[in-house]
Amino acid sequence: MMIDFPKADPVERGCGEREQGGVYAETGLSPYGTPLEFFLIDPPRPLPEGLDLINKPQLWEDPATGITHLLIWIGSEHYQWCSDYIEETRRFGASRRINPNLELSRLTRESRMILAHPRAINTLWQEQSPPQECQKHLPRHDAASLAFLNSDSSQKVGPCLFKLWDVLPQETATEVLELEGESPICLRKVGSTIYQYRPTGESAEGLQPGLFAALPITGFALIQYDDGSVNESAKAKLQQAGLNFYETDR
Amino acid sequence: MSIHMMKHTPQASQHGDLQNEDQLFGETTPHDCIEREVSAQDEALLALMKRLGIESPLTYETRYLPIDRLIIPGEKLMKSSAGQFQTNIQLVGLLHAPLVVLEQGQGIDDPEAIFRVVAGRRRVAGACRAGLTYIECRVYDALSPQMRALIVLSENMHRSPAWIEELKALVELVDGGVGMTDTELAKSLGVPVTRVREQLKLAHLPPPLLGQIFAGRVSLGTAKQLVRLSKTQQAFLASLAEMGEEITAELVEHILRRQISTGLAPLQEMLAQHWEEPTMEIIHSNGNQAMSPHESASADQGASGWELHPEVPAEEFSLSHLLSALLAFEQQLPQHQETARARLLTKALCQELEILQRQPAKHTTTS
Repeated sequence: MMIDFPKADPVERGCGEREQGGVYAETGLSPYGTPLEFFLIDPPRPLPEGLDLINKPQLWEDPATGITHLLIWIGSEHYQWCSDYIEETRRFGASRRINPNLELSRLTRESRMILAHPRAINTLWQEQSPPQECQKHLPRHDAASLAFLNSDSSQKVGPCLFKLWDVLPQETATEVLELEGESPICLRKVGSTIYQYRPTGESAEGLQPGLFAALPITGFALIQYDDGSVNESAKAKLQQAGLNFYETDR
Repeated sequence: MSIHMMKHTPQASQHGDLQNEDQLFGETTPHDCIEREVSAQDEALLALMKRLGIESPLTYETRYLPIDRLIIPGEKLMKSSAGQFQTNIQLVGLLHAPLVVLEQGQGIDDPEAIFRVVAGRRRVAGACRAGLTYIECRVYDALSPQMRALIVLSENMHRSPAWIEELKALVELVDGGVGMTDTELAKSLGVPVTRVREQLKLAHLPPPLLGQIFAGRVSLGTAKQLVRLSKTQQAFLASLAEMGEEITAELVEHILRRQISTGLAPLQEMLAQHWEEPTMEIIHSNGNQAMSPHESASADQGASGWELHPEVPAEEFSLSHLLSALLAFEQQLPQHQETARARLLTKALCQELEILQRQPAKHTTTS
């Protein structure tokens, strides 16, 4: 009996189409799943000193639980802004190519894809206005929370991950909708994703690298070659580890 | 064997002024072009040359020197690479003259003068193995330490790195207080600034660790890991090195892993909280490959037109019906420049509706 599990959408992404022979770790979508915000790291965490993730996905064993997770860098050459990646994941799930020579057998169903982006942490948050809404509803992260607590903006805490949308420059939009009496709505297209944001005009100069998401790995996609075969050694490792995987042509 | 001596400036040779002199034996007079050429340099370059201790463009002489009067720094560490050159030299001869500087003696004419190889050490070692007794060298009578370092770097950074000598040269440049920025150095060497930055990180390791590297006890890979350690950890390893402890690859890797794990401690706390609030990952009830909301909306569509289904009352118009209608509308829009904005907006709205559709339905129970 084939076990079903949530899969990512095989659409064109910010980093292009999936490649033949590739092995992709996925976070799939399900109508009964947990909202994406649960898995976002807010405030985003700085990268540990000495961690070299760029183009080098790595395994990390959490000493507290013994669970091995996958640390992955999301490069700005394909996802200029952290929000680009989050919005794509929201719509189509996550799909990240990994090195098949990694010790995949160390991963388990509790393993997470822990993602880093070069522009995840807003270091200018203290001199900027809080975001209208923190989607994780963390106290004093957003204007709504501060109003509810009768606090002023000087008592805000941060940086809030959801401020990243506010500081996107208007120039980075694909389309701008001017509204009378309101700030413009901007649409930004990345791969198959089109999302909206409303720039406040505040600076994005203070954005620094950080860890912004810890997504559950729902399975792995093995992309077939023209003859229908896949990376057999990776397949064997995934089978040995008892992990969900499937073979697909895209 | 006659001694061939030629004196020229690099700039003059670029203009081919010395083609005739190549045929001459014995002394030639230098071209009086130095002052004119110096004045033609831009000011930034002149300032840089001063900081490197260069008052005027370098001059050198080309000579055939006996190999046994050449010192090859780090000779013991290049046995295998010298062997590669040996075969090549036996086949084709020594194609490029190494650069040497006077080390001991009354001058380059001193028959007892000893010269240190500045660039081309493997070539000289290979020539020695190949049985050559005299080789053509480019001879400098004096070089400031900074200029010597710059030449070594220029020579090495354009080829596979003789990384320890390269690092020594860079440390010398840094310690010499020339005060070049990484961009200036990269420009001087003609290499990417990223490479210079990587090398500079190595050059700023604590002296005891550099000592271990120069002694050949630390591999390049381990040296690069040392750079990734915090200053505190580097100082700790430096103190171990000073006490005579060996800085092994395993030790460095262990400390680096521990440093990274410590840095990920806040993440551990967050993940631990998640385990306390179990997620609701339930497989789609269809049991087949989970369809994306996009596909399921399309599957509902059926009819080819984009008109609303006439049997659906307006007050019961559902999200999926709206999504179906929008998707059909988007597909029917002609692909023109005039419709580009409408298509983009429609796609954006479809994606937002799909997200809404995925959100858990809020059910009310009535008894």
